[in-house]
Amino acid sequence: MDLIFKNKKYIFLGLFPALSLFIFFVVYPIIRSFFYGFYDWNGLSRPIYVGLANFKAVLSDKVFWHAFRNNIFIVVISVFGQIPLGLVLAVLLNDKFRGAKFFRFIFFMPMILSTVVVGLLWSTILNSQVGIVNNLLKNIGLGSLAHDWLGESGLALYSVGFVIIWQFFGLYMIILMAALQNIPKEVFESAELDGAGGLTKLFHITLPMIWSSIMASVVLCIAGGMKTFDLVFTMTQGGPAHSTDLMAIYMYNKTFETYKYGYGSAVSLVIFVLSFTLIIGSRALMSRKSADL
Amino acid sequence: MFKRFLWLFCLFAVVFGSAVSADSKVKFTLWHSYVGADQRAEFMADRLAAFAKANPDIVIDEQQIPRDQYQTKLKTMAAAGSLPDAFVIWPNAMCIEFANAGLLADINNLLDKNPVWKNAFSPRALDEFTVKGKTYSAGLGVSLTSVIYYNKAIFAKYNVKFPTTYAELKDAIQVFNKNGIIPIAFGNKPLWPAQSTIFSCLANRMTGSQWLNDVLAKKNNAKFTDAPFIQALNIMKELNDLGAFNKDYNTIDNVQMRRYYYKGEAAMMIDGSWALSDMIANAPQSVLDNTELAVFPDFGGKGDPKVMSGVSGTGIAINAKASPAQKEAIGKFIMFISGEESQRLFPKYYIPISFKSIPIDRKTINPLYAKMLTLIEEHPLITVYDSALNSELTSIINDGLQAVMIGQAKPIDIANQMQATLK
Repeated sequence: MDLIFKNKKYIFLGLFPALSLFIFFVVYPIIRSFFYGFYDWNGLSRPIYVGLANFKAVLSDKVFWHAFRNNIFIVVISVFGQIPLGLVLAVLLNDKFRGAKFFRFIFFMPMILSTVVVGLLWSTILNSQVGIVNNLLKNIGLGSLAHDWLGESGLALYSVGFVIIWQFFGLYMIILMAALQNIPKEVFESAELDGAGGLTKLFHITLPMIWSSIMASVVLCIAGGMKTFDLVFTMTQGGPAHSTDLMAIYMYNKTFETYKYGYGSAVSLVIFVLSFTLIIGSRALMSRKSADL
Repeated sequence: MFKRFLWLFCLFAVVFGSAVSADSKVKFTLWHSYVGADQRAEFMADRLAAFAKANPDIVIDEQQIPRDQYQTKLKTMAAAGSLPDAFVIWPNAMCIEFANAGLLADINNLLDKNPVWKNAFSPRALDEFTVKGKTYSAGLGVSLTSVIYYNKAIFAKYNVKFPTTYAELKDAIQVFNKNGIIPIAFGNKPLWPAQSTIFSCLANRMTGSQWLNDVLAKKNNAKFTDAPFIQALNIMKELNDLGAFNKDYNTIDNVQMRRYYYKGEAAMMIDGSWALSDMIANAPQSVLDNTELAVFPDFGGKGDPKVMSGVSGTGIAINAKASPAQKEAIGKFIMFISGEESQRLFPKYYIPISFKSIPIDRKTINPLYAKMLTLIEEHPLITVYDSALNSELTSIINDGLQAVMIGQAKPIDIANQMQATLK
């Protein structure tokens, strides 16, 4: 083994296949797309160099910033909806009781469904005419609360946000449950001997000990929230009238619906910068917090 | 060892490669959108099978892509420089974009060599695929985009006459709403239906036919911000506010909306001629028996209230990069699928024909198809917005119509945006 590590040739040889695929299919296209950001290109005719015009247009487009706000909304409800919900369920289901396995499976199930299936399922459930939600409301005499959940511009984003939480809280439940099971039992036992109650144990032992997993979950949430696309796209396609537009949908529409490939590339670069900043920022914030604890 | 393998591999490649080229069969890839709910799905399957039988030396590698994704996929392939050898294109704007980028091979030679075929077409079928004197395809049928299908039994039940003016339409909407009937079944989730099936005709009623040409050519001081165009956008908002459509029209698509009409829950449905085959296949007989076809009422504008919107059907075009043998084979296929034998099949699939005259016995064909033929004879066609506008303007009007209808944007903002994009 040592011999192999000493000989750098073999390390390179071993990494080469994966690395070359990665460079060819990921790194190279990303760099290419950054260059296209400086061109006006409709995909059909020759690209024209336009300097920073695309970036200026992206940054001054109200629809883009509206989409950015929607992304932030998704990130916020993901972080403060999915993680606490996942944590509570993880703590509850970590105890061994009858049916715990069943509930774990049930809560994790949305995760295994394909996003398109989830999108179509909820589009039907939330449909204003034939959907279960409105029919239920009508049957229990609350017909006045029935809405076109995905068709009203003030409501659509909240409906979509709810579905996003529904789909992903199971993931964080599993991640945090795995972390919980890594806490040595002895710590709890000695805490109990010292007379610590349930809440004290939760806040002073459990949370600090799984803090790194929570941090990882937050990063996952932010990254997921910033790049959300498929679920919203199947449910609303960013509509009605941009009310559920997200940055990725905005980029898709500009690139593949209006065929402005250069502009779309510029948008993707801006999304990259914004998401990256947010993740770095959140990591800095969280690591300071963990030092305080 | 490794080197030996490489040699062996190369040897195989040479042998295998030459075996393929020695084969005398011509092979070409074909992308089309005639699939699923599209009325031409069965027609295409029928024609491809017949073509394969008649031409054993030509192999077609077929790719079916649903209409809503088709243009996106095709244009992405165009951007990547790897278009299929033959593919379906839309007339006017899309054909112009592709032709100007040098992506298409013209079929002028083919037309000149076969004058009987060429002269049988109604002019629209070739003109709308002609750019700077070069023709790139021949339209398969005609698409009417703004047909009002209405259930005369529902109209009779509530004692409403089919509206011929905007005022009458408003009255009818009120009566139906009072009685829990959806006035007009409509689905706009894909965004193009509002523009293609309602607005194109409605705007023409307000502005007249010459205006849109003038705006696009920047002639006669015509602008998108002109009052009649704004007025048309306002009417779209009014229709929404009056409750003319099913409430969930923004969350269902133009196929799902038909359910309301088929179930007798809607008095009218606005859709293209392409809805006819689906209707005949899926609507109950009682609804079919009571269905009539009509054009939009008179909205009191500058336009001729007799016209309806429509374009040539899509057609098959040849990739400029195809090999000469492939080009010849595709040309054969274009002639086959748009020729007389195929045109005679159009009535079977309820597609309006794109030949000037195919003798059709009105008594043996479906009565609804017969009504559609009468509609075409009586009402001249005017262009559809997404056929006349480039992709960027089309996207603005598609988005904008939804925003205006649900009160998220003002008509003048949409008009300003369109005018600014034009420059």
